[in-house]
Amino acid sequence: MSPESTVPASGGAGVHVALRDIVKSFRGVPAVRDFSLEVARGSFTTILGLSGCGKTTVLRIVAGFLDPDSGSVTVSGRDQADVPPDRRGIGMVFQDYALFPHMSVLENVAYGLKTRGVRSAERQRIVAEALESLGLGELGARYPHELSGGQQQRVALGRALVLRPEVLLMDEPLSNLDAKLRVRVREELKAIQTGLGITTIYVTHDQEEAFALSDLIAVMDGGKLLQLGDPATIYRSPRDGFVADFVGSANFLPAAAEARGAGSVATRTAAGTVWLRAPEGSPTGPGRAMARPEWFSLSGPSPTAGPSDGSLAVPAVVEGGEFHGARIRYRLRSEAFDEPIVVDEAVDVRSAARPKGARVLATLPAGTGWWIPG
Amino acid sequence: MKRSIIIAAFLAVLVSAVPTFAKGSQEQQKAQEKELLVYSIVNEAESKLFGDLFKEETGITVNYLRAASGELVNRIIAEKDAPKADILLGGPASFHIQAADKGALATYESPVAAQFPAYAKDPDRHWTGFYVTALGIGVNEKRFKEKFGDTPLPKTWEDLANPRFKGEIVVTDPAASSTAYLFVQTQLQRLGWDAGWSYLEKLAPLVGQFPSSGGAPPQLVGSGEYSLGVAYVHALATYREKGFPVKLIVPPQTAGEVGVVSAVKGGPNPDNAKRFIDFVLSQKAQTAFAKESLTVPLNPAVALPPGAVDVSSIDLIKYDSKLAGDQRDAVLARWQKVVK
Amino acid sequence: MRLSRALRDPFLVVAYLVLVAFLGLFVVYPLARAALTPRPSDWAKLLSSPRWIAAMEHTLAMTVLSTVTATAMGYAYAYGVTKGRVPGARLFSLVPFLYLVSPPFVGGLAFTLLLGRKGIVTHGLLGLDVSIYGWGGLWLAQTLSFFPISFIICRSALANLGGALETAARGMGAGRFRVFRTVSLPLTAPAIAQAALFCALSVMSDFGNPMLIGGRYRVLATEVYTQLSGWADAGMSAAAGLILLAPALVVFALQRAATGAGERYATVGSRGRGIGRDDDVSPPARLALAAFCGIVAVFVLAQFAVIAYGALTRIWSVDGTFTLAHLGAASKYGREIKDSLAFPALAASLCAAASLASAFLVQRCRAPLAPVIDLATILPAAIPHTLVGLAFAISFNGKPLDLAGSGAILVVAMAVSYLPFGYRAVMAALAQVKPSIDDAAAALGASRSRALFDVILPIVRGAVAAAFVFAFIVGTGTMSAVIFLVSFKTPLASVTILNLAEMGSWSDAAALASILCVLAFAGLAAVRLLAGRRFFQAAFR
Repeated sequence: MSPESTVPASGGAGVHVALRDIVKSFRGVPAVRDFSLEVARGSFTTILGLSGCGKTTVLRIVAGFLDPDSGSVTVSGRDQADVPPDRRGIGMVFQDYALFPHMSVLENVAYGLKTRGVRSAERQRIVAEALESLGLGELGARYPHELSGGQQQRVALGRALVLRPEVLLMDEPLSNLDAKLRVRVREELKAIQTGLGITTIYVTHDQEEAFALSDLIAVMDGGKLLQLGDPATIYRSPRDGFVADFVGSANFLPAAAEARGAGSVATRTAAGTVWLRAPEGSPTGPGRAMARPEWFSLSGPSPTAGPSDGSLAVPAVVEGGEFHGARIRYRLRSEAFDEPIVVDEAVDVRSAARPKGARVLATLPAGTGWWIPG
Repeated sequence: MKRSIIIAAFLAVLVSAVPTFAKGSQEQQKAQEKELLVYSIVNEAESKLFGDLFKEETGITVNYLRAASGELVNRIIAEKDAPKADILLGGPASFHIQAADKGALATYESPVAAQFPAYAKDPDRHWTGFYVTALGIGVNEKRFKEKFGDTPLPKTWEDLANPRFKGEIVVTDPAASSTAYLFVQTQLQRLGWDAGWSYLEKLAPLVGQFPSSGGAPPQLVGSGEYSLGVAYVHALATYREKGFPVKLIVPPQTAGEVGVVSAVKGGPNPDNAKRFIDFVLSQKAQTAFAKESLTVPLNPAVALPPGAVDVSSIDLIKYDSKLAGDQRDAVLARWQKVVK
Repeated sequence: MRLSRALRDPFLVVAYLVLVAFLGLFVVYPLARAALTPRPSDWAKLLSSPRWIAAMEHTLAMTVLSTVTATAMGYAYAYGVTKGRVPGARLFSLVPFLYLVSPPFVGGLAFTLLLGRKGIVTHGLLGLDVSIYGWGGLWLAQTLSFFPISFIICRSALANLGGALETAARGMGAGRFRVFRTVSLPLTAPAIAQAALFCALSVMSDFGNPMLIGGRYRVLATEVYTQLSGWADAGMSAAAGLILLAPALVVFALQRAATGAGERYATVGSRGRGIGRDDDVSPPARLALAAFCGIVAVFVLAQFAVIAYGALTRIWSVDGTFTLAHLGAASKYGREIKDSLAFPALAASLCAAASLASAFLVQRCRAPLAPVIDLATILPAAIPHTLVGLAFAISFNGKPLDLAGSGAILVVAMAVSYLPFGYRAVMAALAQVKPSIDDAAAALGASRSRALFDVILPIVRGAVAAAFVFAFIVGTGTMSAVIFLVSFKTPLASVTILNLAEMGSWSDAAALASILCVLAFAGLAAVRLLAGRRFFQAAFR
């Protein structure tokens, strides 16, 4: 059973690549378990997870470098089982770029055209255009070892794209670049992909990257697909504690659900009752209230007793604050909860940060937090 | 571009090599009329001599392969179901007999050999002798004088086993070479089993080296690595003629050996083979060969070449080759104990 | 790879089948037949008689001694030429290759003339009367004969070290010798192990040196020859050769274990350009290394000088007047010379192609039966070359496949004998190529075989070139592998040299050997011109 997704299954004509119940083990150790995914035509889908979670294995299965133990891969409805990787019409960009060291940039980019039998003059034209559009126009005669990391990455991309592949596969292509460059290249990448409308499957462990680039994210751990959804959904409504914690900072407040509403539950916590968003049909009983640091608002201590509008007000003391540029991340100690609560507050240029020991009230409005049962 | 050059060159090499691999082509069949294939135990120069002369006389081209006796006999035996050669030329009869016993040799009695001495002809008609040689002692005069001053040169086998000569003698290894086995058997047959072994036990520790090839002692004595060596007299004589300071001594009671020629059974050119045997035994060939090898020719009409040692004047023991053959394993086993 | 998928790349399938057939027919089959040749009585004789036991002991002793010195010498020489940066390193690097060309017989001749009782050095210069025959002379001869192998292997390892790690160690304050001891030496340990392996195997199967210089000191490799040539005893001959397999396989297993551990030592990503610091080696040490390399080089060159001297003078060691007569006599052996160049060239091509195919199929494609192919490709290294020749002579004479008397049998015997070296070289080079390169090629639409030619081969061409060069150079002078295989239409110069020397025509033998050496190098020069400088230099890197 595939986990719930809040994005409607784009079945039928819109599905470009479909993986069904993929299972793969290496020497008895399972690497991928019952993995299913549908990738819509022209979309940017990311498989997100830590090292060793199986995401690269899935990608290599789609590419055809590995055969699944069971399950199938179809592209535009055609089963790929007997199709070798060189005939799958894929384009692939590798983490280490895998540029051919004995060929110049021009020859590297032209290679895929050559294997297709495109004539020399035509090849030269296409490649020149591609290099131009990637900002590599002057570098055609250079060799890979003479290029910078960013340049190599673009050559790798160009080499894959000139073929106008059906599907573009990318295996952590930005991880070898430094931070600022990574952001810039990422933006370029997205622009190119949107412009060309190529169906793209992207693999990374970097959640920020996944959010910035993707239409759809598949979170993986231990070989299994944990959650499939668009970035916003995954961020705001993670399926379990692992996903929640993986894609961003989260506070987990012990709570018990008592009543159910439409897409929400009323939960009782040590600091009072609060209405949380919840998946349809989720059970009552013990669990956790998940609240991202930026969902709280901070104010001075309030004399009155708790609010009655279903929001949570937690009196607390500031234990410390971390400057993050646009916001300050406060760590608060409350009497109600054992664990400190982490709250982000936007920086007010005109005023100073809240000092250590200040008494505050952290308020989580009704219907912002998220219920995680169990 | 460069790649195409390499591929072209590679293909060119391959193509030029094709003739090398072609076997049994039409060209070969035509050439068969005029061809003879010889496995040759006599040395390189002697083989070439026979080849050139035979071609001159008959127009038949001789292709010879020169290798050691054991190896060639082994080849002939291995090939007996599909013989590649026509003739086995040279080497002692014992080797040819080995091949004959396996059914690998043809029988032929050459009319030219009618006048040859009886011991030169195989009663079973497989082989015919065409030269005789004997075992002797070679001395490098220069080195001997340097090392031993005025000591007289050894004249007999006993003189050779002089403790003063320790480390200066070279004898081939009887387990590897038929020449040396002949030497060992000579001592055993000359003196009797026990006395023979005493002699060998006295001599062995004095020997500096036991090379595997019979051709080594003349070479080592000739170049001055050793002062004394046991070898065929004709080989020593050739070194002397070449200009090496070698003196040749023929001790009394030495062994003679007959070198023989035979035809391979079922060889590709049987008629040419017969002609070749006739040729080898002929006066012309014998004269030329005797001159080159300094062996004693068996054709009675041929005179001894200058520089050769006249075997008929040598004191030869009556050598029992059958006994030698039967005893081989026992003798070699005992030899291991004598020599480490 | 699933069969249905594999069939989409017919070239690969065909190459695989051809390779398997080749290995099965020309490695496994002859060896099996040779193994069946000795009778039980032969084995009994071999294992009980003192002569054979002594031969086995001697083989063991020489293997240990010569391997240690040859490996050490090759390493020291390689160190001098790479990190030591001795002056004239380029020229020094060529010297070991020279040595590979000379037929073993000739080396022994030269030795005698230099160091024998009337030797130029021992007698002429030092006034000694020394016999070099025996285990001492053999040890020296083998050390010199096989240090080039150690040199080739160690040198490429040292050159690829890159220098980064040593620089780091020096930066942390370690002295030069300490850096050598704790960084360079351990990192090149796998190469040392491999060099030792090849040296040990070469020593065990060495036939030429013991023949000439061994004197009374017998070893098994020569017994393979003498049993057959002296007594026509194929059974004993095969038995002596097969006995050698046992220690060879032990040495193999040891080296495999050592290399397994050596995986740790793979310096990631450093396809080093040999960037050492200029002061990796202190000036006195550099001087010592230079002196060492100099002495070795002089000695090797002296051997060639002596051979040339023998070729050009009237009578070896007796009459020194200049003459061209011997060269004239030698040049009459046109067919032998042609064969001695053409056959090794073909064998080298075959060897290079088979090495590449094997390494690619085993390491890159994970073809079925890969471990078996791996073993079969390496197996000839454990077999003395004389046994390879004998096995071929036994197996391909008559049914089922009659190759006797053809050039093919010679070419294949040579190719099979040198296959392990080429295979190892290509494997090592392939290991440095990241798997993502293969994947990238596939993603770009290249089938496996196409990727092999477009991408993989150009990257590892140095190793393939090395395989070719090695097989060619050694092939021109080889005697042991082919001595039982030459025939009427396929004479070889090396065998002729042996025959000439045996009958005492040493000068003619030296003349023929000189002609052969010169032509072999000319052949290599031609290859260099054709294939370009980079291709060629890559072979020597």
